[in-house]
Amino acid sequence: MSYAWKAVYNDGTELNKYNPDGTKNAYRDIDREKLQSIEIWNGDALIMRTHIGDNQRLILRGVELINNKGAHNSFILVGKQETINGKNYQGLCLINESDGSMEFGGKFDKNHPWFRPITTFEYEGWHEKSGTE
Amino acid sequence: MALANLKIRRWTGTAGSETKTDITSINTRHTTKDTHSTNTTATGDGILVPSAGTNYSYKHSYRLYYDGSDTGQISDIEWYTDGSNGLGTGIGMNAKTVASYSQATGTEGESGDEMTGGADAFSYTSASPLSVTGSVTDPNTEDVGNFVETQATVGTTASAGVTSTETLTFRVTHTI
Repeated sequence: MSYAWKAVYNDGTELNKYNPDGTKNAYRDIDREKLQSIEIWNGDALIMRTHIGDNQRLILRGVELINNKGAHNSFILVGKQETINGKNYQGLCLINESDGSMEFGGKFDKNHPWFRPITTFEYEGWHEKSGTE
Repeated sequence: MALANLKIRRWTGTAGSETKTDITSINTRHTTKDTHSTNTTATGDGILVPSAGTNYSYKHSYRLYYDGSDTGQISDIEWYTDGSNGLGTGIGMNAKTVASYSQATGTEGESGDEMTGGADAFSYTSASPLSVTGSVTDPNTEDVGNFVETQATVGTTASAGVTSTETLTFRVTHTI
C-alpha cells in the first residue's frame, strides 16, 4: 500500500499524483484556481478529503524523519489556510504513513514537534514562511 | 509518498576528495580518527580520559544526500537528538551547522582539536531543533543543505570504555 494525493477540481476533472501509466504529476502541477478538494488515498482506500473553499489555500507536504539508527519515517501534512481580516488561520492534519494514525493541529507552531512552520512557494499562492500572521 | 532516496552521509578525509559514507542505518563512532567506524569495542582510536580539562573526539560532519531524481522541493531541514544525554558521566556532545566541509584534525588516540562554536547537542530536540540552511528543487543525485558537525567531549570524571549509542535525527519537509 502506498499513499497518494488526488486533486479534485470544480469543473469535474481530477489530477492524480500517479497516472495509470506509472508516471507522476508534480505537486506544483495542481491548479489552485479550480481546486475544490484534495484527497489522500492509501492504495484503494480514501483516508482523508480536505475541502478547499473560496479564498482558502492548500497545505500539503511530506515530512520525513531519518536517523543514524535506520529509522525512515514518513508523514503527510495536509490542511488549508485562509487570511481573514489580515489574520492567517490554518487547519492541519498529520498522517503517519506507517500506521495511518492522524493528529490534528490548529495552526503552525514553531515549538511543536510536528506542526512546525514550513517554507512555502510562489505557486502555492502564499509565498511566505508559514506560521507568521 | 516517502522520501526513500534521502540519506545521511558522513564526510571524512581531505576537503575536495572526501570519503562520503552512508550512515542512514548504521552506527558511526566518535573516535580520534578521521574515518568512519562502526566498531562497538575500543580499537585504540578512543578518546583519552584527561587528567585535567577536556578531551574531544574528532569532529563529525554530516550532510543529507538525495540518491535519485525527482520533481519537487526539499526544504525545512532540521536536526535534533532525543534531548537526553545517555553517554555517561563526564561525556557530552556538541553540535552546530556549517556551510562548508573541513577535515577533522587532532591527535589520534588522544584528542581531537576542539570544534569552534556549537552548543550542547542534547539541547536540540524535536520541538527545538537545530535549523540547517539549505533546500533543493528537483533533486538529482545531489547533496541537500548545509552540514551538521558534532563532537564528543570527555571530562576527567568519564569512565573508560565504549558508551551507549545516541540517535541523531534529520527532519525535512518536501513537496509530494
